[in-house]
Amino acid sequence: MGIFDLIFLHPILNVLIVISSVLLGSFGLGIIALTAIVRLIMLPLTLKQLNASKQMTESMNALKPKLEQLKKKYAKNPQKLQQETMKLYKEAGISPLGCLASPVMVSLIVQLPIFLALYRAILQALAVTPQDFLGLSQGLYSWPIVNEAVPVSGHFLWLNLANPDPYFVLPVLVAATMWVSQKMIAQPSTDAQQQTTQTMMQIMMPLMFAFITLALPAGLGLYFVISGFASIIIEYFVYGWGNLFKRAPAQAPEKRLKGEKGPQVPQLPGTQFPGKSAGLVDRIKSFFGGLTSEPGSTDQGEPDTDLGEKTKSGQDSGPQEGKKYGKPGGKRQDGGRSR
Amino acid sequence: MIWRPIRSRLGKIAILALLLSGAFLLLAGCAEAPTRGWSGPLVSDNVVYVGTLEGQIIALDLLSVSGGTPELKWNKDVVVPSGGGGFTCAARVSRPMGVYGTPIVKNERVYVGGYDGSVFYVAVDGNTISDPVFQTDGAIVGSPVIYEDTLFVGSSDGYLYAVDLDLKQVWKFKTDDKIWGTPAAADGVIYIGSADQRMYAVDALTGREIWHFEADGAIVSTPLIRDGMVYVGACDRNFYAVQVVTEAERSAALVRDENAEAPEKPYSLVFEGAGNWFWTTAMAYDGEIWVGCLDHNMYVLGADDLVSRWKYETGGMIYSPPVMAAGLVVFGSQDGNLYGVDPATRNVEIVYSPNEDDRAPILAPIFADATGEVIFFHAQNGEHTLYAFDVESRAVLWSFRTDDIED
Repeated sequence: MGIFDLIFLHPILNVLIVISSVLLGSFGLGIIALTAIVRLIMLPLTLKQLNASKQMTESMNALKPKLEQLKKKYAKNPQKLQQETMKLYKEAGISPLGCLASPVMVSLIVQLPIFLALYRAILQALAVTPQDFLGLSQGLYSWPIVNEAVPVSGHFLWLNLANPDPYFVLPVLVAATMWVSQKMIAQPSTDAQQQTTQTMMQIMMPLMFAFITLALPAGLGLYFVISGFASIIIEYFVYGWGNLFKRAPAQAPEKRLKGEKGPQVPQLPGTQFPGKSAGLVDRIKSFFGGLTSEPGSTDQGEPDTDLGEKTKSGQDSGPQEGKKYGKPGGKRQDGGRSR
Repeated sequence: MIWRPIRSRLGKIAILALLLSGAFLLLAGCAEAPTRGWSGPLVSDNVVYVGTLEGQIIALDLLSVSGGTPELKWNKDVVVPSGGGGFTCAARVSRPMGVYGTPIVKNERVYVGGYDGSVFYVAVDGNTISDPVFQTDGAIVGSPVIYEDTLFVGSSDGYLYAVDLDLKQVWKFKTDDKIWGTPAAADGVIYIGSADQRMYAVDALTGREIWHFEADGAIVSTPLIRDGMVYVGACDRNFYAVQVVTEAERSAALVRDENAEAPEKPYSLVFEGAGNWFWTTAMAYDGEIWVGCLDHNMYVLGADDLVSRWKYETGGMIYSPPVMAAGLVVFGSQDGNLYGVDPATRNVEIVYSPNEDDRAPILAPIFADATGEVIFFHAQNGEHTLYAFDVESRAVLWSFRTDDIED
C-alpha cells in the first residue's frame, strides 16, 4: 500500500462511502456532499490563495511605473536592468522565488493530493469492472457501515454513475460551469493578441473537459460539475460576478511596435496576474511559465499600457504616436531619431 | 508574418491539451490498469476449454502436446469485449475480460456466459456456434451451471435466468442488485447470492423464491451445499452456514400468494473472524470447511460449528477456490504462488512459484483432473497463461498463452 493511498485515498474513499450510506445510500448525493465538504475544508486555503494572488497583482501594479522607468533607463544594458529589477522586487518584498514560495503555490500543493484522492476515490468506489470491485476490498476499513454499503448504487437521477451520461447533460454543465468560473476571474486585456489567446483558452478548456466528460463515468462528471459550482460560489464571494457580464474590448487600441520591443524585463513567476482579479486562468498561465503569452512580450497579462509610454520630453506619446515609428534606427516622421 | 503567432498559440494550446491529457491518465490510474480476470478452465474428454480476455473460447487438445504446448483445436470469437471504451481508458481502473466464467460441457456443447451479457454454446468439435445467443441485460461474471437439463446463470442485470439447453428462457428470477456469483444446485433448489446482500433459495422448476437469507454485505461468492447446510461468505467479512431448503418450505413456497414476500431464513452458524470479504466458494473435506478470503488467509473452519481451526496467510488475496490434488489441498493466491497443504498435518508447501517475469495472480478457479494429480490453472495479469501442473511431481507439464492467439 502506497503512502498516498494510506494518507489520502483510503480515508477519502471510506468517508465517501459512509456519507453515501447516510444519504439514503445514494452515491450521487455522496459525491455532491463530499465534494462540497472538501471544498469547504479547503476554503481557508483557497481564500488565502486568491487573496495572495490579488496582493501580488496589486504589488506588481504598484511597481509598474518604476519598472517602466527602469526599462527606459537601462534600455541598452539588459544585465543592469535585470539587477535593478530584482532589487526593486526585493525592496517591495516580492520573493525572488516568485510563486514557488508564495502562498499560492503552497496552497496549490496542499490541495492537489486531496483533489486527486477525491477523484480516484470516486473512480474506485464506482468499481466499474469486477476486478475493480475486487480491488476496492483492499481499500476499505473494517467499519461495518462501509462494507454494508458496497457495491454502491450507481443510479442517480437519470444517470448510471458508472457509465457516461447518455443525454450529454453533464458534459454541457461541466463546460458551462468551467466557462463561467473562468470568465468571472478573467481580466479583459487591451492587447488584441492576448485577448484572443485568453478567449480561446476560456473556450478550449471547458470544451476539452466537456469532451473528456463525454466518455467518463457520470460520477466523475458529477464531481466536475459540483466542483465548478463550488468555484463559482467561492469566486463570487471574493470577486462578485467579476467579468462575467462584461464584454471583452471590441478592439485593442494598438499593437506593439517592433521598435519598442526593448530588452526583456525579468518577470517573476506568478506575477503576471492582470488587474485586480487575477484568477485560475492566470495562475495556470503563470504556472506554465507564461504559456499563453507571446514570445518577446514582456508584459504578459498586463494591460498594454506601455504603448503610451512617455517620450524623452516627458510627454505622453499616446498610442497613436507609436505609428510614427518605423524600423529600429529608421527615421521618424517628425524628423527625430528613433530610440 | 501572420501564421507565426497563430502557430505559436496553437502550439501552446496543444501543449496544454497534452498536459491535461497526461494529468487525466495519472488521475485515472490508467498506468495501473491490469488486464486480469478469472476465467477458469474445464477439461472434458482430453480437451481443455477456457474463455479468454478477448472474448474467445479456445479448445486445447491434451493428446497433442509438443514442445511444452498443447495443440490448439479451435478458437471461436463469441463475445464482443465491452467496457473497453472511455477517454484513453480513464473511465475505468482496469480493463474487463471478455469471459469471466468457467465453461461447462453438456451434450457435446460447451456453454459459457460473456461479459457482454450473452450466454452461448460452441459444439465441442468447434463447428457450430449457437445462433442466436441468449442475451441478458447485464454482464455475466459468474459461471453457468447445468442442473437437470436446465442452464442457470446470474447476470449483472440482477436476474437469475433458467434457460433450456437450446438457450430458450424457461423463467427468470429478479433480485435487487447485480449477480456476480455462480448458482449452486441441489435437490431441486437453486441457491444464488446477490449484491443486494441476500442469498436466495429458488425452486429450480418454477423459479419461485422459497426463502432468502440476508447478510450485512453483498454476496458475490458461490454457495457450497454440503450435509444439509449451505455455506456462503459475504462482503460483510462473515462466513455463514444456513440450513438447506426443507420439503415443507418448498411446498409452502409453491402455494404462497404470488404477491406475498418470501420468508427470511436466519443463519445457523457464522464465522466472524475474517479481515476482509469472502468472494470464493468453499471446499468441504473431512468435516472441515476450507475457504479463502480477500484478507490473504486460507481459513479452515469446523463444518459443524464454523470455529476457526487453522489459518494460513499468503502474500495476496485468495479468490481461487481450493481443490484436492495428490492428497493436498491446493489453492492459488494473488501473489502468484500455488500452495499445497496437507490436511492432516497442516504442513504448507509452495508447490509452484513462478519466476518474477512469469508471476501473475491466480484468481480463476483451478480444475483438478480425474487422476487427482494434475491441475489446470489460469494465471492472469497482462499476459494470460494457462498451465497444466503435476502436483505430485511439482512440475509444469505445459503452458499456453491465451491472450496471444492468432486466427
